[in-house]
Amino acid sequence: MNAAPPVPGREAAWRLDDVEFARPAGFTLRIPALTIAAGKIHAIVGQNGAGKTTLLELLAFLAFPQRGAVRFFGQTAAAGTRAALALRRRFGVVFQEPYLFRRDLLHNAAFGPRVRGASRAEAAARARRALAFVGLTPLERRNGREISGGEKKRAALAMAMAADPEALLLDELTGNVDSAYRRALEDLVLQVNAECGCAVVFTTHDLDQAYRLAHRVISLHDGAVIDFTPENVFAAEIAVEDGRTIARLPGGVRLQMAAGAPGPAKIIVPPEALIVSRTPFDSSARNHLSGAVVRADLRGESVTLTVDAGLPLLARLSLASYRELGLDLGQQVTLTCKIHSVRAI
Amino acid sequence: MNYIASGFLDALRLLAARDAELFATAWTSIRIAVASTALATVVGAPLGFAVAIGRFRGREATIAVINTLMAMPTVVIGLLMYSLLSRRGPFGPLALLYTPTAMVLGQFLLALPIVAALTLAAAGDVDPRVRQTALALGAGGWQSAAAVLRESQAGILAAVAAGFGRVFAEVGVSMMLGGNIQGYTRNIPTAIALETSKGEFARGIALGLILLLVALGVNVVLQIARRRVTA
Repeated sequence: MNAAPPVPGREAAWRLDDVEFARPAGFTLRIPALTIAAGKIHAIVGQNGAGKTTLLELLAFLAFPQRGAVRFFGQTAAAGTRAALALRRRFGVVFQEPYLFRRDLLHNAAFGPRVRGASRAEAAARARRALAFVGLTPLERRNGREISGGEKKRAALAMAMAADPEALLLDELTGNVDSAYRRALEDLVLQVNAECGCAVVFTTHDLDQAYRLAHRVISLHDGAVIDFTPENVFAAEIAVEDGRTIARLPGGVRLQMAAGAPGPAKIIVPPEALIVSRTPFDSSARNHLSGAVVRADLRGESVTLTVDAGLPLLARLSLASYRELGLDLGQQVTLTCKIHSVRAI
Repeated sequence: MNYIASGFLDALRLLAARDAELFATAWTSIRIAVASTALATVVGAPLGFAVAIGRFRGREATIAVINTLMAMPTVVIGLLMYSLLSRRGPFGPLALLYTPTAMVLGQFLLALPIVAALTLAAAGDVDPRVRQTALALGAGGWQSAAAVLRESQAGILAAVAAGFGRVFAEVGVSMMLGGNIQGYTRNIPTAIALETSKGEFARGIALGLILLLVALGVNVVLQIARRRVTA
């Protein structure tokens, strides 16, 4: 196998070169080049059908590209080969809707170690440790078919962890999971990454979650990785002043929020939520910023303005409104938004 | 109407008296049916399982053939085996006709497609996520097949139960290949047919009751086994 042990965060765990994967249904995933660093948390985001699950299956060597190569620490394999099995055994995978075998959780969690040749006792010990890690020890004798959806997700995480994987791949981390469990799962992911230093790749269509957990977000659209720069996401300090929650952004920008825990946070102001006007106007909206239009990008029927309001803010408006306002570059405008539009993620 | 009720009472008396011939007939039935079902399971269950999880050319056709054979009338199998085993037939020199072995072979052919088809259905109905999950957890080809097998155990046991039910109650093969020889190849169904034709309703009903009791016993055992594998 590999000569040198991976240095967390420094080395590329996966390297995709010129990968093309087509499903018979007509969907095609094309990735000219992509590297995924070792030891980090990665989120794959995109809409349904964007190719998130397919990409995850390619990374897990459960699917194989028709063209190009997926390499994990330099190694690749073809479908159905011993090399593919050897690679698969280095991962832990949790599917969107995990299947649990008709046995108790202990047997379920021991499956991974067992197929890798661990003795019964060794496998049971690992299974117990993994179940304890996800907090399912009290249910270890329960049948895998008889537990709730959130518990299944955690059990599946334990099944994946029991085999001591080098990387963890999670499909729709918190899809179909109650909000009470969502937090617990997110914390587990952070904990896994922190404790074993193994790379975690998860898919989600919850952008907030992606930015909250991941070191890097990979955005997919229609089977391609798109260069995605999150719009209007800023590092900020939330503070309460005179009973109002204020987010202090770089460049002296202050935005009032409806609510938010004091302390450092990431703030998002959706470009669609910013109203552009030539002069300030009276309204119930509490946030007003002014600045010069430094850029205008036309895409389809909408225009995205970049306004320098102490820091570059994007504001999106329809082409018709843009024309009506008669905006030019350098023009001073006012950006207005409601406090509910400013959110911490 | 009265003869039915009295036949039923006489049947209970025969059972209570542990009529030797009655029990010998029942024992022949059980032995032969268990042997043929076991044989059909050994061949049919792996066959059905392999077709269920395998991907090969002619798979659909194979499934159609197996399903069709399930509906094979017992007398047709009896006829087929008779022609093979009779003295003029290719296996005549083996002198198997009218022996328990011939009955086992006939019943085996009867149960085989049932066990195979129902195993195929059971394994085919297993959630596709089973295999995917096993592979994702690091299982190889055989290990993932074993996982699918484990998940379809309950259905396979049901297939075995159905196979046993079919052969235990059938008359055609037993009559044509066994010949209903007392103390040798006479089993419960052929005995019932004989007793009924003689007008001996009591013996017929007694035999019928034993048949039902044994079938019940076998199904209870299989059901307990099913519960254990699904629990």
